[in-house]
Amino acid sequence: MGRSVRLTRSRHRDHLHWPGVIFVLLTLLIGGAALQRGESLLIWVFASLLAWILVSGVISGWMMLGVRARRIAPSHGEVGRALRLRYEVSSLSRLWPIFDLRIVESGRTECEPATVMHCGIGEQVVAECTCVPTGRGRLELTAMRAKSGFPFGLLLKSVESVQRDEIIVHPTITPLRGDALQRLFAGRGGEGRSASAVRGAGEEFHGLREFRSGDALRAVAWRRSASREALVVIERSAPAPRRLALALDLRMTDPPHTREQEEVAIAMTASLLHNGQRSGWEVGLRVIGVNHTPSTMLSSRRHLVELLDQLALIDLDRARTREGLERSRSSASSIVIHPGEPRALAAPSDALCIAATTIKSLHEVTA
Amino acid sequence: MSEWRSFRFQALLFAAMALSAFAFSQQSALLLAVVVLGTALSWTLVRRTTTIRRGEVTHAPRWLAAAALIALLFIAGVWGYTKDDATLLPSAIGFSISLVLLWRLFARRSLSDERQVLMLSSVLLIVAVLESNDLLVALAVLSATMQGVNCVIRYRLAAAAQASHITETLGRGWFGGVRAVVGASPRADLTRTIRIALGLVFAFTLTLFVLFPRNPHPTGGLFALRSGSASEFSDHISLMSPQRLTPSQREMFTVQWLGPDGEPLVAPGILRLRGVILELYDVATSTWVGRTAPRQRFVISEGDEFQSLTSSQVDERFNTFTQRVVIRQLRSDAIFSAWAPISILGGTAQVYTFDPRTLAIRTMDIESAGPIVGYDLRVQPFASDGVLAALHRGEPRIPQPPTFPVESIRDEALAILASAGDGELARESGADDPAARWARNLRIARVFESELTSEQFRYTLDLRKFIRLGDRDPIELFLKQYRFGHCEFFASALCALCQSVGVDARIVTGFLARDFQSTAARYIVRESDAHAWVEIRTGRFQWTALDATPADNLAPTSSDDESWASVLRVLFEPIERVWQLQVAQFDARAQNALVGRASESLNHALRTTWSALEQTALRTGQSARVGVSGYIWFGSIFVSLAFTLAAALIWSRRLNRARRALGVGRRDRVRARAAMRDGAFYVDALDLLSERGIARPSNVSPRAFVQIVRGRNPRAGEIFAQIVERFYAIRFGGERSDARARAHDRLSVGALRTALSE
Repeated sequence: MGRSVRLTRSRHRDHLHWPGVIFVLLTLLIGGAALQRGESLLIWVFASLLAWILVSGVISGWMMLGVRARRIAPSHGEVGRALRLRYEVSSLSRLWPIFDLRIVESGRTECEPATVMHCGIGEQVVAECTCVPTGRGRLELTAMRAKSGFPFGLLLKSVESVQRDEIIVHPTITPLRGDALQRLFAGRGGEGRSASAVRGAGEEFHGLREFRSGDALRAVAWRRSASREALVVIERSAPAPRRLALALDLRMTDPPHTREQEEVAIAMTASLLHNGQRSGWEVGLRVIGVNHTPSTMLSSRRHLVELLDQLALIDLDRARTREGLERSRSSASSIVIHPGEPRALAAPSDALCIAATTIKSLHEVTA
Repeated sequence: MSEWRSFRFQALLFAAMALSAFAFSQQSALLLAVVVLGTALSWTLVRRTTTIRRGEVTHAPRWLAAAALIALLFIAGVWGYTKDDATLLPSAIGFSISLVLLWRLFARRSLSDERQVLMLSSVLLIVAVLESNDLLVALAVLSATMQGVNCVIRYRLAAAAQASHITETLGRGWFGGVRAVVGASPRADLTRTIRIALGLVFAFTLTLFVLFPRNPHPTGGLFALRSGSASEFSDHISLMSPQRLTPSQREMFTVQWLGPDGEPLVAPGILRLRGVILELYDVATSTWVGRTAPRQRFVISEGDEFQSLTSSQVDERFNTFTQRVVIRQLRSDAIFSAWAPISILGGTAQVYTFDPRTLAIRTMDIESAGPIVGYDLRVQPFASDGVLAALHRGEPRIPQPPTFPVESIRDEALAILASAGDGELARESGADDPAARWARNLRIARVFESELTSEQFRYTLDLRKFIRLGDRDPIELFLKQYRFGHCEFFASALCALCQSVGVDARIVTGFLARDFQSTAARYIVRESDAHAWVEIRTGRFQWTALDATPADNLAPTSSDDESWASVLRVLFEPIERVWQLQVAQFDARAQNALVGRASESLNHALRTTWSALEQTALRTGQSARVGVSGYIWFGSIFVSLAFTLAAALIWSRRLNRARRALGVGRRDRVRARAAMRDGAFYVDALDLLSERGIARPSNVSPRAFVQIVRGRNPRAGEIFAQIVERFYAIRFGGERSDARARAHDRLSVGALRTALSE
């Protein structure tokens, strides 16, 4: 669900469009002929055309009076990937069901209209449409307009409902090879492996305890058992997940990077974060050059979404700093992503500095 | 049948109605046959596709559509070749549209094609209406206007389905892609909506048709009839603005010619039905007008008896025929009668004026008395001088020989007489010897008639090249310059030539009954049968009809030329009469009469009701004799009843709201009462919030609404949250309330009120 849902007022409007204008002109022509000739059949046809206009207004008016729409927006989207917006449409009218209703987002041309072919009296249906975001950041949806020309398409009537939703659009996440990080760290050693403080099925020594029924005989510490005259077994530590500290270098440079280069760097950072989380790494993010608080290192999906949110909300128009990048205190593998050419001197010696364009070599191979 | 296929069928029906309407308007059996066959073939003999996907629907193979188009164009070419008349432009347009429409029916592949079919059909309907307002056309048009509602609604849905990519499932229907939470049948809803729309369109159309402002005094000339712009018959001939006239096949009236034994007969030759007699020519306006008749008589027709036009009894055993006229589309105060009428029987009570000098009959006040639906006349085509004297009511004064106001016409007349070797006739006056005068009249008129019917003069309805030159009179231009025109010019020329040399002549306008229909044993008189000819005085009472119009244009229509429509008409004659009299001739007078009747009925009903109420009140007062205390007592009862009614209404409204809130059906009265008792506090809370401007949107759940209330008033939100939880416990938890719990609930609502007031 999008953030900050607020239902407020709705506003009804009538719209002129070409079919209606042409129909009205034709009606006037027939009316002129009927007045001039005074023939009953011609008058009947003229009256019939007028009746069409009246009935069109009456039916669509009654129908639209009972239309209520509520947007069900997702909380996140991704640049270039279709975002599915859903609308809960209710018919409150006691007289007319809803037919041929189109819902469009006001001021959002990138969103296709959602169509409701039918919604019975007192019923509720869900319509869907897709919207392809073109840039990361906050996608603000303020109002939606439900339009219908039913039954004859002569008059277009609409109801605008104000409902503010905010969708955070993440940078483009390019699918990378499963071993993308291993490839990056190949030859450098230290892929961020360490032992954790909890028991597990790893190889590192954790402690000793008394033998319990069911323990494997291989785990028995025979020497220590002999000295204690009781069986004790060796407990192992659980293997800690590998850790990846990503740093996005957006510091001020001379000459400055182009906006496109920076966006590519952001997208690459997002892709690496996504790839790392999917591969079981604990990932952390630090954005250098902008006011950003470094995140902790976790491997959960929720943590990834938070990091992607942070990337999505980076404001490249704000002032940059020339702050330095400190060495990571954690035992994590560090990657510094530069929008342009890597500047190894500006990064800790243990960090891997790569250019954003390096991502091309890590693309997932699709059949 | 899927919605898509159903829509295609409805569109085909609409097109068939439009095509039929046009065929009826043209009275073309060939076109009707082509239409019926074409529409049927387009639906049945084309390739069937069982699995229909987007953009691919049932349609004809291309070769078949092309062959059909070639065949139709060939038929159109043959038709155009046989109709050598440049004035048939509307018909030509209609035929072209018909052909294109038929072709489209064979090549319907997409929604765009269907839209074209609907638009072409609509245009064709308008052309049909402009061409004719016969009953069959009217039936087809009325059906099509209603069918159009059905088609356009379905078209809108088809367009919406295509726009929303639901057309992927067009073969199965338009509503498959929509998920309904609770399921009313879309098809049933659509059918119901279409029916309601049809009802509304019909009601609005009928109302607007009745209320449409109509011209109470439409004008039109004799040949304005022929242009199809009016159905009135003019009482003058104007030669001022020659134009191209279009012969109209609109049927004005029918005539039966009954013998003395009452059997229908075919009249010998062409039956000339005299309407208006024009004797004077106004040079300034180039107009023939009638003489003001001082000797008019009034004949009141009532009942079933013929009213005699003569001053004395006339022997009707011999040489007397009955002319029975049934009006169809003509609206005129002139009575069209063959020579010479002796008595009249009107279809409705009418007052007629009879001019003994011209034997012309008219109705008195057509606006107030209503249109003439028909009349019977007894006529004697070969009336004796005695009968004519009885019609004249005495010996008429023999007038002086006439003169014609345009001098140059006399020169032309003298030249014609001289060239015919009858120059001496012009010098004779015959004023002293009436018999010689009548003989001279006829002889001179024959010479002129012979001249005008010669090949030097040409009959045409297209007078666009008849251009007025300076101040020259149109008759002079006709005789000396152009030598072409229609019957008005021929009659004007003959009459002018005759009057210029002192021959007693007058123009008669009316109709020629020449299309005898053997099926119904009657003549059909059409607009195109309107005609003008000349009468020459050949006796003290006798006048002889002469026609200068070339005879080729006056040929009687053979009974073999009867159209299929005429044959069919026998079957639906009563319906057609109703159509013509009640609908087609629904004019300002009928409109006023209808409004008057409605107003009178309403007034009568109101007066009757008011009178009944007065009487009841009076009787009650008289019988009760209640006095002041009694009135107070009755007043108290009335106020109590009013309060009780108001309370019942409020209770009912609250009960319904509680029912809806708690999901209790109307039939479960016990649960409904329990719901009202236990859940009323929730309804009260909602009412309270609504009064303070926080109405719950119907698509927001109660718990979601709590968040909205919290956003507006946190304190009220907290209290309302408790109320909602309690409501949920009752609604979904099956909890029952005792008196203590209900009191607590009421207190919660009170607390909410307080919180909202803070």
